[in-house]
Amino acid sequence: MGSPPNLAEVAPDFTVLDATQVRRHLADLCTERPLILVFYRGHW
Amino acid sequence: MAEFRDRFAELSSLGLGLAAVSVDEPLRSLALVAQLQLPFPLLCDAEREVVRTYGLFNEKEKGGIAYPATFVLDRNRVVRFRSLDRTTSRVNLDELFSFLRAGIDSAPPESPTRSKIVPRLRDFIRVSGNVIRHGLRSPKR
Repeated sequence: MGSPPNLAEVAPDFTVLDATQVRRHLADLCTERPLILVFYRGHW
Repeated sequence: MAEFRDRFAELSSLGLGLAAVSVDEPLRSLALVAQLQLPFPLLCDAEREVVRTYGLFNEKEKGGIAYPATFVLDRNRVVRFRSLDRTTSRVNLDELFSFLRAGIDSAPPESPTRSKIVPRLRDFIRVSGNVIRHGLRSPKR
């Protein structure tokens, strides 16, 4: 298992589906403006 | 998620986007989008690859879920702020927004504080309803 990226490090890129089954690429989500990336536990 | 939804307009006005990651598959995530009326994308790491890469895989709970965490990434994906959170506490949004208002080039808080989560009765009722409707957790593939 990796470790969480530190300040000033580049966050690992990834591609996953979103809730509407569209493929989302992290690098694309950041292209136009900075991004808040939240990890959450999931739907209870 | 509801807290981010409630401050999403402020985030947009500050020129930031938002995306949230969990191990839920798209169908379950879509239910959350609908239930909470979320205006931002939910990303579905059903294979648990992203949470492993990010060192945020909590394999002890519910077949493996994400540890909560919040990052601010600039347009080159460089981490400008991070808060690694716990089950019962989350990033302090006031502190996060203070940082964002100062600009992401500003110095982030040395060690971000966290807010305690106190479950309310209506949360318990909502969770119970979701468990009945959707089951406890999708199995790890």
